[in-house]
Amino acid sequence: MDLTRRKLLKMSGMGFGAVLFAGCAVPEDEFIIESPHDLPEDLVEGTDAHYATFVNTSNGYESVLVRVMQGRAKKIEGNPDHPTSRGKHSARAEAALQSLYHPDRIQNPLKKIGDSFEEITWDEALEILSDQVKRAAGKSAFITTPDSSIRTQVLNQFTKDHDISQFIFESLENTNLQNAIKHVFGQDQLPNFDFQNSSYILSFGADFLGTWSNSVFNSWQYGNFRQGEKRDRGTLIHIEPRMSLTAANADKWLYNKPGTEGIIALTIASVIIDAGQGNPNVSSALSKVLTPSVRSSLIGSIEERTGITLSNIKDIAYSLTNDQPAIIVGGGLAGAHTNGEDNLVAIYLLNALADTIGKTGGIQYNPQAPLSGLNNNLKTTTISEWGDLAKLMKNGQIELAMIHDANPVYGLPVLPENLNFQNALQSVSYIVSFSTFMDETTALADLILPDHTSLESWNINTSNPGPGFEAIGIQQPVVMPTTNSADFGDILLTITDRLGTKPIWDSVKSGVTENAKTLRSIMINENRGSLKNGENGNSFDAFWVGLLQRGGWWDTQTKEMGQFSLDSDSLKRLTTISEPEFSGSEQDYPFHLLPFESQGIGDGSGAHLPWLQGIPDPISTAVWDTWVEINPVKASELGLREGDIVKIESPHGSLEAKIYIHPATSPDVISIPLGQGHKKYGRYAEGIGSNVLSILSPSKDKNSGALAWGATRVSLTPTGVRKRLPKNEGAIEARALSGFPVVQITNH
Amino acid sequence: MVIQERTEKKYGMVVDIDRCSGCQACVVACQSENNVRINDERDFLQRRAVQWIRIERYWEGEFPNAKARFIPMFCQHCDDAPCEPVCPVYATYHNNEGLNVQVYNRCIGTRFCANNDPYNVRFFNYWEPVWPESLRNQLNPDVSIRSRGIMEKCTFCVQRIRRAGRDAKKADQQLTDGDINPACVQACPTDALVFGDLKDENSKVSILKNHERSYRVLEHVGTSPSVYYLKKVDKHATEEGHEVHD
Repeated sequence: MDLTRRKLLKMSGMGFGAVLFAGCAVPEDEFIIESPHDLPEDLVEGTDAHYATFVNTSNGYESVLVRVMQGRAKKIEGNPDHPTSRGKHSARAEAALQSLYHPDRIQNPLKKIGDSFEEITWDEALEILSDQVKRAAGKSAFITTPDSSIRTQVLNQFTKDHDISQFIFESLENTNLQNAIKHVFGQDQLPNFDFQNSSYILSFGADFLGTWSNSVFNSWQYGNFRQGEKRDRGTLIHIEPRMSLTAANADKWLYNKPGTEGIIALTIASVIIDAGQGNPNVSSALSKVLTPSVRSSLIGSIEERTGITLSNIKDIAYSLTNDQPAIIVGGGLAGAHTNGEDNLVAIYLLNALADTIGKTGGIQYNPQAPLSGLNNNLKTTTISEWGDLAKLMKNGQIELAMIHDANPVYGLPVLPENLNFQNALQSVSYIVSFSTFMDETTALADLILPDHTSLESWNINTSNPGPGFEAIGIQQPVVMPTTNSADFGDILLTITDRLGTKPIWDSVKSGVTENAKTLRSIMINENRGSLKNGENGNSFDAFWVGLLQRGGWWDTQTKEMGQFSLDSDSLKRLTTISEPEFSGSEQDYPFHLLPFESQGIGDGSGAHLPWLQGIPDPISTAVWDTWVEINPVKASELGLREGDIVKIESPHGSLEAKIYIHPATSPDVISIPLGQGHKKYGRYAEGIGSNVLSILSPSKDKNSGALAWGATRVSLTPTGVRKRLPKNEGAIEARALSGFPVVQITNH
Repeated sequence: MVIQERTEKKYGMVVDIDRCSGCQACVVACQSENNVRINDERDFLQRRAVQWIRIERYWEGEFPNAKARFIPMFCQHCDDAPCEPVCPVYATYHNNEGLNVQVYNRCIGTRFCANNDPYNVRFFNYWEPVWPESLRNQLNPDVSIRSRGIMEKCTFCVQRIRRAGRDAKKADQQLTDGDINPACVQACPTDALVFGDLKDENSKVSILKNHERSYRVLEHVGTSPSVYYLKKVDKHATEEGHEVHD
């Protein structure tokens, strides 16, 4: 209605007076419905649908429900049905929405012409790729990240069919962890740590509440470990040279000298053996290696060697054997040294002595996935192997490099023999990237075939690590592709077909369906699993709908009853645990450099997402930047204040970052988060901070050849420049006001 | 017609800080659900970042005995909210379900409410919120975008409360405890956050708020918050529950 002042006055005279008068008070609608969108002029009608699917975060797959309205994904929430998500999800899972709708997504297949990219059709792109794969057979490399889904099965088949070498990229290598788990437990994947039923957790460097392993499932368990019903509150002790999120939540955080975690574990074992405690068989086997003289030497020198007092060691030893069930977990910095693998072997062997294996509240092995194609236990490529690959590239022995979901140009440090991966990659005659975003590696590509995001594609995965029983996840597209992208797996299957080999499936979706048929036959023949025969009817379609509705299939009854036996090689290793070696002398490089994954942007793979950039680091509260955590006393000795820009120099490079004064940092270490310093990666990542990975020395574990990413020493020089550090905390460090603490504590 | 009907509900929350790990999942879940604008570096540098829920970290002690303690902080939906009576246009008020709400289209941006808010959980839009066109696809159609010049704050996800109410009415059912979960509560991996009706004696929040560890933040100010916190347990704490030294 065209309402003029004259009309309004006329109307009010005709009986609208009451309404106008009532307008002096607040109409009820305005109280009840707050948001103006509910006003008629912009009323939004529409129903929402929730789809169960998975998103691939840098911490692995998370089972989620996606709320979709009018063809658009609006919100991600944990899938309440799935045993590892239980309705919970991480910030990184939520940010999959921003990945989907990111303004800097690669919109079309691209071909490099001169120095710039030109859009091409999919047909042309696939033609080029099949020609290149054919041309470079036997001289090709495929670089991906660890993955436990059908995509890896497709990739494995592809590399086998076309004679391609495969490389698995991880910024902070977990090779030592994989090896230690294999040595001690004989397992190919991490066991389930039954934190929720445990009374006592001893963690060495494993930030299981933050960035290590499946943090959402771990956190759910942690909540119950602390305040679950019908149980006493558990105790968490965390040993790490840096205060990680898990350290901050521990009842006691103990600083240890970097790389001494194995010695600490052995000393704890020595105290347990001396006290005649622990599993008698394991104790007697261990005492052959840990002879009385070795034990007494370990116990006598513990504080000097590791920085942990003997009384703390004794307390831990006592609790491990008396406060059962207990769990000993290790990872992160504990395995990031030249003796990292041995450290982790010693740590995990403590589980045998404390008799935690196979127990409720202890360590439970994960069974193999019932779908054999998903058991892809590919080993992470070690820094030594990257060095070998770089040499091959330099020598022209690699003619085609294909890269999916990995950014090695950003994430690999200087390689052995001072090789630089970027230079090496540039010697390769043809580079193909399957990235959705223009990152540092993709920018070097000759051909870009943009992949779908998780929310646009089919997949089937197994939880890795699993929850202690078989769990299969189904990923379904919840929206139409928003760009002209294609499914990575479908591309590989098409190329195989074009080159005259019969692909394993026509498409990834048909692979998912085939696997669903296998699951159905397990249901019918073995009468087990989360879907019951006849629940939705007996047809395959009914089973399929059930799978999609629940987001997967799992069988909580399938416990792996793997036997533990002490491996003689593991025992031998205990005698050879050496002192860690560091790159750079103590004189020239006075600080240990402790790199750590950011809670939001992880190893940098989430740096392009503004939600993740804007997540305050839980401890420093800093955002959108790179900072250096330094001890307050040390900072004052050096005349440093927060925001001072310092130059951090290692034997292999230097960077600049802002000082953050960190009350929980030891004077001999500095910590720098991973993730920033991108030269390419979209508007939200580029030109921010520095990349700490670029100054790491290529030190190696002496057994596994894995990158010892905690073994670099650095020096620190002020630049005289100061800029404010963006962070959540105010200008003054937040401490409790005496008498009015915001966080109140109690001792019971 | 002015509001006269009083409902039987009073919504509140219990936060168990012994469970909270400080992981920030709630922070992003809230921003996604409520169309909170992108906080860039400038927002943080100027202390103008909008976070309806944030994790505060308090230091205690020095190395090697330093401790970092976390507490989720958001609008406490106080019964005696100091932010309400100072609004000259009645844009912030207490509704009949115990929510402290903000009527965006009434707000004229005096910022008196933020000035009077002891918890620092009200946020002023100094700029028009801007999303690149493609990211706007994600925006929640249930929640309005706040324009430059007005205040915004935690609503306990009022749109979810309304939706659950409508759904229950449509299905001719009563709302039961646990039917409504604000985005932060739903996301929280450790189950540290619990939401519900404080008037329902059997609801989880009603039971937990009477827990022996229960307290309310800045209670001495007299704000009567609807958010209860359960104290962090630290075996080394003194009886008074303050300083901890190993």
